[in-house]
Amino acid sequence: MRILIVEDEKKTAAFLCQGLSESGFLAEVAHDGEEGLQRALSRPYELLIVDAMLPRRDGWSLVTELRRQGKALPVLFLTARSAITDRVKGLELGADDYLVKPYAFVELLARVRALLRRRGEPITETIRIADLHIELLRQRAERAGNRIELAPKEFALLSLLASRSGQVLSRRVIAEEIWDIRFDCDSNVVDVAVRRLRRKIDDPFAVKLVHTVRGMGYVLEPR
Amino acid sequence: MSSSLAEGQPGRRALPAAAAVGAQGRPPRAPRRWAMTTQLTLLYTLCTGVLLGFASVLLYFALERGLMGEDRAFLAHKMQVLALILRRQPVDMAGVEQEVRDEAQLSARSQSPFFLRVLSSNGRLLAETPGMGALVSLGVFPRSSGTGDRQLICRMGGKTLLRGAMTVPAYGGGWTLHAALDIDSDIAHLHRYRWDVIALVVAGLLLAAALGAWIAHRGLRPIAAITRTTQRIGARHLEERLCAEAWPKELAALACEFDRMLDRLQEAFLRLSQFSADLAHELRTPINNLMGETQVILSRERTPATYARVLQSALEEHSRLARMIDSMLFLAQADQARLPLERTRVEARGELQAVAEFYQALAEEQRVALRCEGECAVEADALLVRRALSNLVSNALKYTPCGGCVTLRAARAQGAAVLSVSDSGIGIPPEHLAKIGQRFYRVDPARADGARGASLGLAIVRSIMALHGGDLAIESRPGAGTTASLIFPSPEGDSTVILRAPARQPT
Repeated sequence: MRILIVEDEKKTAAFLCQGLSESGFLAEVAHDGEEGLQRALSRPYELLIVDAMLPRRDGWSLVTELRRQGKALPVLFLTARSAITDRVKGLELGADDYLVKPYAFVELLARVRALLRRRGEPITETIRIADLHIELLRQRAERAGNRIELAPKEFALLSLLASRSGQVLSRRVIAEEIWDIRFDCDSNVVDVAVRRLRRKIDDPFAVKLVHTVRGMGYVLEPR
Repeated sequence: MSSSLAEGQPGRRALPAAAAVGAQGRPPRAPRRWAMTTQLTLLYTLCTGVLLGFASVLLYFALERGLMGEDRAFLAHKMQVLALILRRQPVDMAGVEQEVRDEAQLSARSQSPFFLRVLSSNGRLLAETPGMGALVSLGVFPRSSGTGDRQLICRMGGKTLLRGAMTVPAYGGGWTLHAALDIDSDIAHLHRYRWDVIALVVAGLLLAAALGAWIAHRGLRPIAAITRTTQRIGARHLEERLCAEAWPKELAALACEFDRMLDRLQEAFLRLSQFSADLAHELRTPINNLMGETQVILSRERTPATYARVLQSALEEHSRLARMIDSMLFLAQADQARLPLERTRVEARGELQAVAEFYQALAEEQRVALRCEGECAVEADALLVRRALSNLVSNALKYTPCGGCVTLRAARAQGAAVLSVSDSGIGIPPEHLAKIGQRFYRVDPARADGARGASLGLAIVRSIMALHGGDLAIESRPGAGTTASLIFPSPEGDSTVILRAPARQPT
């Protein structure tokens, strides 16, 4: 999947490009708004990551022009100012999502995947990872054929981690998806919740599925 | 007349604080107004002028009426005397002529000569003061003359005369009396008086202007003094106050209000300085860790695992910095009331339960019971309410020991919706209670527990409540526990509070 990063700050562009490439995307960089617009119009990208403040043509103008020319590809906005007005402006002009600097790279990755997924991915009813089997509709989880009793929030957490298996999910993303806590809170609540989940899902088994990625978050995958 | 104050224009020589507004923030200059000294002087002069003028006009007319009244009475009296003689029986014409002659002699010596004339009923001249015929002809008197009370002023032969006539009826005819009084001297008198009065009014006006200027200058001297004192107060002398000096009553209120404003400014100023200092300190620790760790690790060749460990540690510090910046941005925007509130009707119970559910696992780990009680509706921004509650619960759990309990409660009290979080924790000593919501304030500085607390949590709660026009109240008894209450005033009450928050420019 081709992603165009429009970002004038060299270091930012470089780590975004590297991070996305290593996550399996084809990432390219445009260093100013005008170049970004020309490339977005002339080549087939699946997603655009646009910084708000750009030389020659700012991010908002780029998105407006892009939409005016009939391009419907999803756009993720990056802005240094967390002023709500900026966010609203970005979304009104046709951006699909936004991130405020400083952001965690795992969060950016999660948003990119969410934006790409929005475009028609089949809804799965069951997930199978190694010997873990989850039935989403019936809210049942089994490991090696043994039924595991989970509280509703624990099941939600397991489903989230399993449905994005292999992706690191930050504590913030987890708090947002599971408890609808859409702000940063000084607490290790997520750590406690994951620890409890592990006690049921991993502790009795030799193969561990839930892993901590230090400084970033959690990932569910067979290792 | 123009004092130093009048020329000085205290408004123009603005306070140091106003000077900081800078070039683009200068307010539009108000249209130039007259100096207060000039205004007051003019008003004094005007008042004096009106009073003096009124009094003078009144006195002038009183004098004129007095003089004329005397003249009229005099003339009437003379005619009455003649009439009396005429009515005597038998008719004593000789007596009448004698009387007229005597009066003529008297008149010749007087400053205001007067004239008498006696006519028979058919108009024949019987007697007259010598010279009267030349001065006042017969024709100017009306034929039917009445009782002599009606007297007219007329000018004849270069003189101003007061003249009157009288009919003395008698059997077989009767007489007509004519009398005239030269009132030139009275007119001249009034004329002189008029000029005196005008001179007096002008002199009075000049004196009033001078006095008025002096009084205004003297009266406004405290304002000049206040201005001088104010000029001394700058960022370096913010502790100076006006109320220390004895001001007149009217200015004392102004001085006190000004002092109160200075108190607020000083407090805000100190808080800001403290905040900057604290911020620098808070930033120093993670940056110091980052630099130190990186330098140590780069000083020689390491295994990839070591590099990974250092980078992970760096990531933790970075997250801490990012979180702090997030909180600071939130606070800055809340301070400037630039966060738009999305007010909706929020069922408080639902929010309490959502937050309790989030912290449930953590509370169970710490063996702390988490309970929700009561319900009420709040007009508020749901996300911000949740954030405030979450910060309070997080705090409560931090300070509640094993076996304790944390209660989230929603209730209505005196028209306000109150959401409170009570714990059975260690409590807060009274001396810390007032400062507890301040940014970076910690009861125990040693409890700066690493990556967790940037100790901005309560400051954020306070800001959220300020945005809603509400308040954060904290009660605590050491050893018994703490209750933190979010107080949302009723919607009618708080709309004004929201309007009050001005949209300031970012600094």
